[in-house]
Amino acid sequence: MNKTDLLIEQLSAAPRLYAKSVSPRYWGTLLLVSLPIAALALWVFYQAGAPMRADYMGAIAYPLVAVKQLVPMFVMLTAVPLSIMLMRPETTIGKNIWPLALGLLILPGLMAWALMSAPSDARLLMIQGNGFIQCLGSILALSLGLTTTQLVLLRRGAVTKPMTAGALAGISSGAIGAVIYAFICTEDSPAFYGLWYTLGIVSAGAVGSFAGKFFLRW
Amino acid sequence: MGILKDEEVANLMRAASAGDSNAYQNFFKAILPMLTNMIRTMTPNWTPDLREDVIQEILTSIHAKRHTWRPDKPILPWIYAVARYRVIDQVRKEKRSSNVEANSDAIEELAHPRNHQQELAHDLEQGIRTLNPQTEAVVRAMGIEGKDAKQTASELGISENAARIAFHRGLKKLRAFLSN
Repeated sequence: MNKTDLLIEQLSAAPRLYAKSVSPRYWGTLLLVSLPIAALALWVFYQAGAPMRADYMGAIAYPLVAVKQLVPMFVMLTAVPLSIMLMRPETTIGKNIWPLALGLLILPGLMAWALMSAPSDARLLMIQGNGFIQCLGSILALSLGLTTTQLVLLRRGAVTKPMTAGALAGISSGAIGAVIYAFICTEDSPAFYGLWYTLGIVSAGAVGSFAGKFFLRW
Repeated sequence: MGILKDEEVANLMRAASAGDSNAYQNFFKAILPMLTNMIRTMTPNWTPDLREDVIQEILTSIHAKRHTWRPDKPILPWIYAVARYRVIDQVRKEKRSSNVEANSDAIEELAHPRNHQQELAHDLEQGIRTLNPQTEAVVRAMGIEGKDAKQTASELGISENAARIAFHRGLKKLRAFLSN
């Protein structure tokens, strides 16, 4: 009996599969980790002198404020299913990327519209706002724990496109980071958040892609 | 077995997942020829041993990752994707290790750009010239021309024993010369 036959015999001695539902587990874990991260982040922001915006309830009624949370939420809701799909080795994403791609383009689209209707000498100030480094850094920092969580979840799958899967995990994590950050962010011009929110989400995706390359091997 | 039918293979896997050990064994035996063919096509330059190793890794991976196959989807594309990933992974490993070799060869070549055989012949010639004339003659006759001690001794008019001793001493001196 050769080695391969022997291996087949060994493997077939443990045939039973205790199937776990992948998708609810993925969403559940992500939510479970997001909530404490959000709570902790709001506490840290508060301690650092950037509490949740006092006018949140009133401001969120304005569409141009609401999109700061609704669009990242949409990005997250379209990215996570793709990550879950990629846990199956034969998956090709193809046209399924479109909803996510459109979601990522909404904020930059609003930014372009806001800049076009503004006087040219005000544009740079609108983009810079009062603290784009804080915005970018916070979204990226908030994403890291969530990206790590998703990579751990993805490792249970059989990912054959590690960089894509890692990028998607980073993008959805960055999007959750943006939703959290919007609670304290008082910059309500699309010229500001259209750029910096998007950059934060995309750079979280870049980090995820790089991490996926190494961490998602099996 | 003729062409592998997805439904048959999927049925075996479903039965296996429910705990049927025989079905699982038949599942592996059913896909083995397909894997063997696939690997032969993908990697024409590999040794049979390496292919065997990869097949075993594929089987182990299929076992470890079988929960990622959804029973309502075709199973052959799933198997193919797992196998392809394992083969590519192996190619990457091979490439990395052969790159290391190629790099160290390149470094060697940079350090010693000359043709090694010519270099050695040149050094040998230099060394032989440092020997005394009789030893030189013995070393040339026995070491380079390949004559035996008896023939060398008679040609040079010395005893066979003296030829052997001269040859031995000559080699010793040459070795010392070359190692400097």
